[in-house]
Amino acid sequence: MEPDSQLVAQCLRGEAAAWEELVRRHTRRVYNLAYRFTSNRQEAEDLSQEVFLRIYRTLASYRAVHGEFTTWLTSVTRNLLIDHYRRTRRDRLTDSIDEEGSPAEHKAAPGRRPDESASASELSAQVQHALTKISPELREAVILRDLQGLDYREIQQVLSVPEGTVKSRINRGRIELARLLTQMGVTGDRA
Amino acid sequence: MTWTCIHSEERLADYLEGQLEPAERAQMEAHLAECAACRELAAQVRWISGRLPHLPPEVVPPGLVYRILEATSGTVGRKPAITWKTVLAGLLSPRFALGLGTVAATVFILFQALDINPRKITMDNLNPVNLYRAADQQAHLTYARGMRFVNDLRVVYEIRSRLEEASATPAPVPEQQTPKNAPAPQSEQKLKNDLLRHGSSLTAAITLAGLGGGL
Repeated sequence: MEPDSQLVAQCLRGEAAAWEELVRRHTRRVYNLAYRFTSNRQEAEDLSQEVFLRIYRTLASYRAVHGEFTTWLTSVTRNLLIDHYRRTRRDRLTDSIDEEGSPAEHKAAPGRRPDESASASELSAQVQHALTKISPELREAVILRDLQGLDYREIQQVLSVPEGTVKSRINRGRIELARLLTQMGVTGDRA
Repeated sequence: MTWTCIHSEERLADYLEGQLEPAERAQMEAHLAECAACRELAAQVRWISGRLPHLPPEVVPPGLVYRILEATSGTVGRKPAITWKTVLAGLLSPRFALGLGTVAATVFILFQALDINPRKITMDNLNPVNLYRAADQQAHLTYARGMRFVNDLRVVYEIRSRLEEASATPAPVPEQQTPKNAPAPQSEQKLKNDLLRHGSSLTAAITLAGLGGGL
């Protein structure tokens, strides 16, 4: 398999097949990051298109010496997600007021353990619901570290914050996520 | 310094990843031993941190890749531009090489069948009448060779079967021995006649010579 940097060079020479390969290779990563952040499939799809459109237009600015293509791609995705979050903040506040009092869609039965009855996809949905409740700074840190599998150095590059801040956000994000899941009755097997 | 719940939360990730100094680790574990809330929180964080990397990824909607390509390069469904590099890559592909080999083999077989020397091809070779004559001649020659080969084989098998029959016949009684100048038994005579009939065949002649010695 050709490395991303080589595909980028071929793209810049006008080879459409190289661009297609780049898109096919990274669509899943971008879409998952967008979906985990927004919890909305349509928004995630639109954002994925927006991300690749920006990548396509700014491909010439990518320099392999400055880091992996995936880190650059994740950084662009994250910036667009934050922009999108700020743009849609008012809509979400209205939605959350409307939702108050209605039964939570993703709440599990109290005391039910995932190992007993919830499948991995069910847990995924519960985690997704809990992720929407934590602040975007903590959410993105947890998503990048635990769902996208980036290491601390890569997250530091993507978020442009010091390593101490990255660690602190991941720690706080996990704690908030764990508390929210406990409130939802989703707990680990501690036997 | 008194280790509080705030300290436990701040250092929880480092503790769970084994990054704490021994002194801090001892304080953390002492706190967890006496604080049920922190203990439960640590267990829940450990559990969810272990599960998150293994959650199934969200399935990408069908057609998203094509929509992205359409929105960016707009190359979906279009044929790539033909360049010298793409042409060369196509010529060097295994499929093309195999096709080329098949065509070459077919041409070789045709030249052989039409008795055409590839080094001396003239316009007469391409005349349909000459092509027909050459093909007809080759066909007859091939047929004649085949028939001769089959006939040779038949003679050989016939001799073998006769010999097997002769060896299976019981030995004659001594009183009924035939005189030296008497004609050969009917079966032996017939065999010789058959062999002589096919005497033109080299294989049959060799077999006959061997048979004569044996008889």
